[in-house]
Amino acid sequence: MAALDRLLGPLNPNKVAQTTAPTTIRVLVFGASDRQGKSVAEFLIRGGKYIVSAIFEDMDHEFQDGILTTVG
Amino acid sequence: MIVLKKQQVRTLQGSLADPRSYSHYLKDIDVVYLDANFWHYLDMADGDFEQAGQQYFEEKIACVNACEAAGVKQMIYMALDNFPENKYVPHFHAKAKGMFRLRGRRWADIQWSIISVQRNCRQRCCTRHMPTTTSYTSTTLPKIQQATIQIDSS
Repeated sequence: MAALDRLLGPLNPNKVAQTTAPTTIRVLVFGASDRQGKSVAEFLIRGGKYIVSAIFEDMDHEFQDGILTTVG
Repeated sequence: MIVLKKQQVRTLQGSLADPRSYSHYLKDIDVVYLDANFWHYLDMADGDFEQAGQQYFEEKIACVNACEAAGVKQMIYMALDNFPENKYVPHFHAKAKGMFRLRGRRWADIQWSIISVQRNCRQRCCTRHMPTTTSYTSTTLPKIQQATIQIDSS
């Protein structure tokens, strides 16, 4: 693989892609266990430009709609 | 959480209450969106709004400090504007207190934004978000209703 890289040099499509691809932004969302934070995480991931992480205190957390505690 | 996992959101374990639980994640992060559920803090404080607000404020500021120390490039802080003293609403006050602290501090290289509900949105927002039926204890609920009444009369 290294030999192939050397052979292709600056025309190596992988290297071209690396230099021209837009920088991916890494986002960390606090509060994603609530409706507001969850929707932010969903919106960002749908855009496709971001690597989205979300912090959860309880890894077994399930979203519940329609109660006061989901609004922060 | 499963909903987010299915959408390729990376789920990490940590707690705002303990910066050590999340600070190592921050090293690889460009942007932090910071929000927390005030009502969770109220639950933890057994309905004591003062204690809940203080805890909420301290944890958020600790998170901001951790982000700055880790070299996070940008922060987005979710806030609410404060009410005048005679219309004190703890939920708003706790968020606004953090906002004022952030506005007043000196920053290193971090860019930050504060997103806040505007004055003319308050009534609609709060009357919608504070239903009279909740899963809260009977000692907490009257206080929430009282806060709602204050907002309605503003």
